[in-house]
Amino acid sequence: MSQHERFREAGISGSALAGEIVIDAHMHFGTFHNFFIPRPDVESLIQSARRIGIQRMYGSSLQAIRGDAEAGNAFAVALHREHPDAFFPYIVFKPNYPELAQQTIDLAESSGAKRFKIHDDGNDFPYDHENYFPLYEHANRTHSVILVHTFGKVHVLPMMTMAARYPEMKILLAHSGIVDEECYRDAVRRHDNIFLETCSSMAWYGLLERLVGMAGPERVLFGTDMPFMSPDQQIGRILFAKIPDDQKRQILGLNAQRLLG
Amino acid sequence: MTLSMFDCNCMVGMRADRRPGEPWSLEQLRADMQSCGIADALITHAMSRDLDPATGNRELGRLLAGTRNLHACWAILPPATHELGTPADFVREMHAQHVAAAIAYPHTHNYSLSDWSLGPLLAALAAAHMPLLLPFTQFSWDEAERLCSVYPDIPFIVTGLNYRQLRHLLPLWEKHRNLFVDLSWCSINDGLGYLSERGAVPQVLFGTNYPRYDPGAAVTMVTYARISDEEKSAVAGGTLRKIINGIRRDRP
Repeated sequence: MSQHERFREAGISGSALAGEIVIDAHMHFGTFHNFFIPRPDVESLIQSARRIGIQRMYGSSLQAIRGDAEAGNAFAVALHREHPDAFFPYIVFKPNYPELAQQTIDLAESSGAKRFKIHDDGNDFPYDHENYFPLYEHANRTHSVILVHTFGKVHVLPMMTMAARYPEMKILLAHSGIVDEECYRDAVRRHDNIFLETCSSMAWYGLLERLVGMAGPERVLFGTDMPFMSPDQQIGRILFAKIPDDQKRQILGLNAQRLLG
Repeated sequence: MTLSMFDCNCMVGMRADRRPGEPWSLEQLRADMQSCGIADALITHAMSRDLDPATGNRELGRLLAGTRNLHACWAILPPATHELGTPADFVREMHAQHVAAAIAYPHTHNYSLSDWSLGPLLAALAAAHMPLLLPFTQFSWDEAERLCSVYPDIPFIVTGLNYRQLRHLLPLWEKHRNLFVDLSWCSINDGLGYLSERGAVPQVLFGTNYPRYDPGAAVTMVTYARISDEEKSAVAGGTLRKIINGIRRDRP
């Protein structure tokens, strides 16, 4: 059996990755406005994760991203209390509700979640806007992780500026390489506090291998973007990648274990 | 169980929109199929889309000559320009070369899917029960609905459908069972499990969008799906084989 056979065989047979650490570093809870999500409920998310062998899911509330951050974040925190081994919240920070910034940070502190999610869907605030600075200052002070929705350089370039200004803040770039691959390469080469997350509905040929080439296998993290996307699809990009099995183990869970706690 | 995968959405040849790192040769396609456990593939040629269908279809015939598990898919054009011969001659040539499907690129090739343009050829394809692939960016949902209504004997296969389209697709499937989709970008969480409960799994085909996408991502969409082994077998290749076996080689 060659060095990337164990995971490839699992992909062909569709067997859960027993005995491996598998962590989803990027998923969501809830529904969305512009398309139908057939299975957004918590039980379905757990079922989908179990089929693959995912043990832990780090997620953010779509309700928080699209509108009511207070209610959405509260749901994510409560979900963790209900399923303390399965779900772990990212606290969504909204730049267009500056009056709630401190309350959002306080929720993260009180819940022990040293993880945040930022997404410009619906608000269009660039990630280097001053309304984000209270979050970045907190994250820098507490060494927290910020999962950043990205779609190429329009999102990555401002985060590179922020990575330099707040070097203790850990930045996880969602959908790495989905477009403008070179900006993701530049981001990880210039900033040690930037990491790459893999999920993409478009399974670009060879992208996984290129992400590993850019960042090294220790800075690439597996994510699914459930319930938008299927872990059934996202796992295939890792299992069949032309990299050694020990690198796949790092991407599937060991890196997330180290970064996300 | 071992699934016999039959990829319905695959391309060979050098493409105008190739991204660095993407393969184009038949040899690399074969190697990637083997690595991902894919037995068969329905293949279009890049030149049929990016240069002209006559040249691309001819080149595909040359490339695939003598292969048993690689099946040709030819691009079509409106008969009035005579670029591909009469509809009857075109379909007869498809049969002679064991072509397994046709594909339409009306936006890229700048023509209409309406009957005043394509009608005579669609009628010939319908007589032969020839499947017709419709890449997702090439048509409107209203056009798809009309085609399915007017040509119930053509299995229409929408390729590259993205995961945000169920509000279009599910109403269509309530009316038409000659509409199929490939899985390559239709990646919503537990999509196949949900479609199984709706009785719609027979409308879904395994497809990879190779070489744009890594084929392994589509493989695991089938192997890990929350559906029965029988349904997996159908999605993996059973349904497509049934469609191709249904081609009337004696028509026209």
